[in-house]
Amino acid sequence: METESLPSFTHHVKTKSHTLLILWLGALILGGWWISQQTKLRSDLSLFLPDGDSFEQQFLLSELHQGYATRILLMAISGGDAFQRANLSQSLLGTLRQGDLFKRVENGTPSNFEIDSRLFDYRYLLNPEATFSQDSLSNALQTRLKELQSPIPSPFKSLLPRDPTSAYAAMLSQWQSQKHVKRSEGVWASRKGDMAILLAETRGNGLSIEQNQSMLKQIRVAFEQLDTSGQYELIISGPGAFSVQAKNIIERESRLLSLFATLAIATLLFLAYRYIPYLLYAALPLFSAVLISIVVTSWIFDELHGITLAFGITLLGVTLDYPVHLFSHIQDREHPVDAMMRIWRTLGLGVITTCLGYLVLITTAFEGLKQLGIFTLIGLMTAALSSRYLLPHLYTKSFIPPQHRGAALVSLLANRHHRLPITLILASIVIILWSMLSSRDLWNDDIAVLSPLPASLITQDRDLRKQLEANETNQMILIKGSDMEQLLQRCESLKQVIQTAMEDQLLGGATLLCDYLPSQQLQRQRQSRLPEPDLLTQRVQQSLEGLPFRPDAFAPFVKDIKASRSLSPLTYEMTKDTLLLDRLAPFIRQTTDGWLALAPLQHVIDSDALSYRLNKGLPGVQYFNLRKETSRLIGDFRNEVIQHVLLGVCLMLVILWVGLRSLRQAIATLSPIALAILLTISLLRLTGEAMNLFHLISLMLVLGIGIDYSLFFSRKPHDQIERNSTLHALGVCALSTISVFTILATSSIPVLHAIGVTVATGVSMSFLTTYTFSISASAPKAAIHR
Amino acid sequence: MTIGQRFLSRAVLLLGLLLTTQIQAETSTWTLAQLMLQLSEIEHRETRFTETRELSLLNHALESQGTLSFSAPNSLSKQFDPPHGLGYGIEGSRLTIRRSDGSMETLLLDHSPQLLAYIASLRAVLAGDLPALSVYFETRLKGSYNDWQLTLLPRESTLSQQVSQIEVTGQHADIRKFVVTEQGGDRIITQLHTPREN
Repeated sequence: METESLPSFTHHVKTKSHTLLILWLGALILGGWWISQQTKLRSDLSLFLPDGDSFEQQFLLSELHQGYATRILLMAISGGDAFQRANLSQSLLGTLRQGDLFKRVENGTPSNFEIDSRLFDYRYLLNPEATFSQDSLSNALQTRLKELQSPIPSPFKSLLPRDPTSAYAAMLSQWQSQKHVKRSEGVWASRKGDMAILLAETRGNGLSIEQNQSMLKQIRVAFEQLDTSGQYELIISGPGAFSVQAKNIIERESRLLSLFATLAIATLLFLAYRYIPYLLYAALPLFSAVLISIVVTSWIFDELHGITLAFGITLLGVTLDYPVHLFSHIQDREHPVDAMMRIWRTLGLGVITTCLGYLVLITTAFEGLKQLGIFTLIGLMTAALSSRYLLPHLYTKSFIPPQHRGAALVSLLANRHHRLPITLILASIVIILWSMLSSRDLWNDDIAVLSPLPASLITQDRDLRKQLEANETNQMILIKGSDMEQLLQRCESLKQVIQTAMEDQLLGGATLLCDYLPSQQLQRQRQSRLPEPDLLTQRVQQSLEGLPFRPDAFAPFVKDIKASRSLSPLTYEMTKDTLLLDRLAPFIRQTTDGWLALAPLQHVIDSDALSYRLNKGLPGVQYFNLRKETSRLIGDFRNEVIQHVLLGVCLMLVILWVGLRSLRQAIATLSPIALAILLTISLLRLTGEAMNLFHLISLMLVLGIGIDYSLFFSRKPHDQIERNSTLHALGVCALSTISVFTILATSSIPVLHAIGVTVATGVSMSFLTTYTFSISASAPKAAIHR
Repeated sequence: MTIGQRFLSRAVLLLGLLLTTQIQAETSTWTLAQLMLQLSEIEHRETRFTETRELSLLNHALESQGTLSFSAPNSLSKQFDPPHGLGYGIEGSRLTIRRSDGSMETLLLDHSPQLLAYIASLRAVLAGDLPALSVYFETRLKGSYNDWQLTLLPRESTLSQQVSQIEVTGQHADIRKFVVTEQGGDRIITQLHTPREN
């Protein structure tokens, strides 16, 4: 027996084993310290996203989560009038450009005109608009004269003798992004004109949260120094800012929620037993479970995801029930070990079936869920085993347990409510039918719901991006080529389709590689259209007539055109030491069998029509609507999880069959929970809560808890005291679980809210159905008693 | 240095030099620091100017006229007469262009070396702001208080690629002529007429 295995304690008068308590607490504290030193948390979402089944999908998903778009920060200044905001925007631009925080910062004003000598030499091959007719030359020279006469010096003045048609300046302005954004007082402004907007590109990919945090702080400090009056407001938006905001919100909310949850549980346990040590003892298995889970999961996966940890700890909250069952069942002058022995069969069976639910998560092809499965599985087993083999030994001998409180609750439950079963069945039918008639979507496969951010922040970012017509974050075109020349030619055919699509208002625009670097074929065509030197000289001379230019002013221009005719076309390799590289590199990837280019799209209006045009007759071009694509993937994945869950339920049935030695009883145990889950899903649907992955996994938790309730309710008690103990335990368990998850449901973080709502509803329903079924099952017996 | 500090240091210098200025001005120990101090004493200027641009591309020089106004410590604007009708002004590190149709545009000076050369250097001279001047230019002073010539040579490569030198000539605290010579040989000459000081 367990009592005899600890003989050294038994001769003490003490009823409690302080040594065990101190050892246990000590191990927890040491373990906690070690974990805080060792464990590295991952915080990106990619572990909780599907992998994608083709190479292209994987590529796009990785772009979505680590690519160029994630490096963009948008800043919006509001307050004051347009001119003041423009001034502030300029000052902020100046300050931010000084530091080395950003690769580039823009606010719509012309940036420093760099003259890249190689690109300058290639200007007539790269620029689509270069024309050399008599008329256009005459017009160009007249425009140049006006520019020279203007008191504001042109930055291209020194290039004038070589480039009178201003081809280089035209090329640079072609390359300038966000050409169509509204400008107010010279800087980018929101469409309503109430904000000045800046855009910044951070230096590295996938900056850590700490790096992002210090970056945001520097921006804020710079802004506060410039805004001495304090009448302006700065909004910073974008993935970099989000990771910090998400972290802050998650930290703040989880601190607040866990404080409230702990308070709620402590109050409940105190009200239930009026015995302070229980508060500590109840926490021991839970803390042990969390600790061991972290260690084992990080050991298996080499890392631990933040969501796994947060979600896992929430799921492990159910292990508080194990000590509660023990406390409620200790009878007068009974050794806790004996009480545990009495309930262990029922408790153990509940634990094993719950574990099965999480075991099926491990079999899904999904890193995040595997982690979560292992984490919860290990935690449940640790909590169950420590409740079984350690917790009762905190008492060295039998003792007088504190009297149960909450007699009103127990007697309420002990009373037979004969009308309850029929009421429940009728109500269930109404609720389920009503929800089936609802036109609301049952599932929400939008990727955004998986984000840990409050929806308001995501909407704000979407709005700001629209103002700047920045790239759509979830729609892209992918161009493939076996070599760069083939890719660029394909891009040029695509460009024609895009242009007609733009004319037909299907989209606002596309960023195409070939706009920066034309194919060699196209460059040769342009070369062949350049005029002969003699002809050009003649035309220039004619254009000069009547203008105050010196006769030989543009001889360098004629010389340059002549040189351009024999240039070998500019290739991607040759752009590597030019300022084009920065423009091209974000959109080009080399693969094992060739090249891939991304073409970000702006302001897609009709994605179906666009998709139809792009996917026909354009070899090597693929249009991706990532939102649809990921939704499909998430939908597929969800179906996969549901299949696994159903398999898990079958396994549970088998285990219950074996454990209860009766198939009928196993079915009787599971059926009220099936009804409870059906009711939960219906209620969620009726309240407009579209379900996602997190709801689904929360239902797994409900299933586990429900089985526990069902097993305990259908347990054959030895006597009325034992029966009341069970009712007391179940009442305390249900109340604590429901209150904790109701607190969680108030969270603004979508994930926590989803778990909270689902589990609070689900556990309420499970308690109701299992209780009601237990009444109807024992009804005949009750009738005999009466 | 903040504006306040600059004023304070200026005031101290001024006190020290108050008694000796008249005498020193006539002697060979007359320095750039003294010239700058004297320039800085005039807080507001408004004067007519003629700007002549001699460009190698054109066979005749371009001439335009307008009004220049300056307010210490760092605001300068040039308003051109019609037909241009446009004006630009700098305040701090921002350039604001006002076109004749009433539209306005702001630019950052730090990112436009040419504007820096043309306008910010003139402003630094008018303000007597030696530190600001020394950031971008090496300075050489010739002549006497009655007739001086200050040569500015750009330090920075972005600036020196465009501007070879700037020459400022003046008498006492009056600036007479401001000549920017560009690398290609083009010159922009700003002739300041008799100022109305206040």
